[in-house]
Amino acid sequence: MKKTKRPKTILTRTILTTSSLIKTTLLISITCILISRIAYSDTADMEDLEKQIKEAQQQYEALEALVHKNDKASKRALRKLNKLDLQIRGFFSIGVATTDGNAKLRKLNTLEEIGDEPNFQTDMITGLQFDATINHKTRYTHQLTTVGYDIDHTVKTEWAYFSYQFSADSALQAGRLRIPFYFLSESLDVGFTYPWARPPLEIYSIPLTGYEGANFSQNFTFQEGYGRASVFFGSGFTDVSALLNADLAFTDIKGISLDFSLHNWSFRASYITANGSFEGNVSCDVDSVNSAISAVITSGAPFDPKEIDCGGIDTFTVAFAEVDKSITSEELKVSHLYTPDDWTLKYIDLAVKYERGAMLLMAEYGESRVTQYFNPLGPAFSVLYGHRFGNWLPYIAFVKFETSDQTKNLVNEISNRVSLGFNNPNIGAIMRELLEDAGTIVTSRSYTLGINYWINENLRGKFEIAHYEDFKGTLGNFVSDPGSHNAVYSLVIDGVF
Amino acid sequence: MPFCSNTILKRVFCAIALTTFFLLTQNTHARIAIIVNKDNPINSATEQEIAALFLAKTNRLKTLSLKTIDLMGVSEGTVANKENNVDDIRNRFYKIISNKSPMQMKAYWSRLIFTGKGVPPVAVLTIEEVIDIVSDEPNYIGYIDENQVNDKIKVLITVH
Repeated sequence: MKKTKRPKTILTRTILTTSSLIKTTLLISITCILISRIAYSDTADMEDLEKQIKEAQQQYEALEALVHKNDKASKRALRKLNKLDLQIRGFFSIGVATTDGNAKLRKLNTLEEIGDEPNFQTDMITGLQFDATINHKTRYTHQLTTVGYDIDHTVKTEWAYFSYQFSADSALQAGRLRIPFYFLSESLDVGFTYPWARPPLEIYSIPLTGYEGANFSQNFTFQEGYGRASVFFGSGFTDVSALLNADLAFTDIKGISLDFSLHNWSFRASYITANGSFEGNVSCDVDSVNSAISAVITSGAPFDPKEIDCGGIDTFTVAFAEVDKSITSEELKVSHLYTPDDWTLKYIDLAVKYERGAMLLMAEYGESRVTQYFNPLGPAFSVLYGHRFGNWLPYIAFVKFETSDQTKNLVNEISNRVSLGFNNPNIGAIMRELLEDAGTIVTSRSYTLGINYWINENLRGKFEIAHYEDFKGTLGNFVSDPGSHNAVYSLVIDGVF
Repeated sequence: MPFCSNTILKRVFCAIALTTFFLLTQNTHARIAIIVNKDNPINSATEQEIAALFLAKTNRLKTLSLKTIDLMGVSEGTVANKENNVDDIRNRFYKIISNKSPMQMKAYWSRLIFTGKGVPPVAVLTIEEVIDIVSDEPNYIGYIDENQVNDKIKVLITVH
């Protein structure tokens, strides 16, 4: 928290000067009265003098009360001035990351890839937040961020909302907000707030982070604990053309989240649903799709979506349309199985944090499900244990992720239909491989060993080694075949100001 | 204690040793007083209620909505803060109510601030300023060194 210096405006100075002047004038007046009265006492009798001194004392007390009252009014005026404040805070992360193998780790939420060359862009972020108090119930917050991997250094608005406090316990936020998918989703950009170099990609790789809508929250108490229940709704939109050659939109976002803390324990649960779609014109070079599919079908050559001039998952929209031309039976057509412009998403989260003195334990179960589309979403589990020694916090973490059965069933069904449609099981097998190679099905397990060091109250250095394994023939979170295991080394410095 | 009952010399030595041990193991810091305006109808609070307020888990104490005042000083570690004993009181206060170090508290508040989940307390420079605001404003609550409590304010609880 930054201390806000009281503004020394002209009004402030005037109030202070007026107050001091009154005090000084008062003291001079009293002194003059007393001196004149003492001079007079040479000729007057003592009783008269005492009476006059008493009157002078009463006048002094009355004037002192007036000054005190005036002082209070001045201070209140100052506080009112201070309440109309604008506070500017910020955060940043700089870091470098590299893998020990040839396979690149994909950070889907940023579309960045960490390879065997040191990558300085992927974890770099700068944020500025402006908080303006409009009145005692209304505030406006605006948060701008710029990220290192964006070569254009575009400044993005992550938060821009008005908040209105209905009562001490209930509030409404409206504007652009972050979607609270998981425990750290809202503070994902502020690395200073968590021990990981970057939270588990298996859970936090969601390309869309924000939405336009409203969030109503209500604080409550239960037994000795304190909680907050929030309901929110809205829609979100992001340009992810680098990977998908389309814009991703989440519409009809509806969710509820519950935070509860009891002594050293914090709990979180949330449930979110949304409709997903790719918007905009998906322009693929159909000839390149045809030739790629022909090559896969005829010679079994590996399929690389990047070879096609529309890249990524949306390749399948075009690719399966081409495949369907060769399938005569309407019932076996593959494109009936998915709807790129209308799929349903569900996010469920259960998290617990225990923090007592030097000990820190965080565990989270997050499950994302998608229907009617290819997406390697699924259940994930993470646990982190750390223990503080002065400014040092060493920690170990474990993460497990596996694509949901819905997506696996979808891939199986496509493979079956292609086998039947072409009357050739090999082609079905190739289609399955094609989908798996594109990262539609993912299995991964990772162990992380890391350490945090607080350089000072505002700076936190981190070093971690994340070991990924147990891919079960999938790519895990990597772009290409990671082999049996792969490690990612990260060095990050996070700060707030 | 048989060891301490043999000779007079040993008894004196033991008495000095035990007194020294007693003094060393006692926390020499004064207690921290949680203060509100004299006109505030609330007369007491538990340590847990105070923790919830100052950690922004609630804005309410009993039935009243209260604003917290944080004794921030100029900045952690500065000469002014040391002279005014600000760092010591602030760090002890948060250690007592949350068992968190200043760095942990910074991370805690950063999370609340950058996710719109909490508005930081009113930050002031000195204990005098805390007393000043609390004695003037009925809806504020602050914490100060118990030794600096005066008759302008009301103490809800002292913590150690």
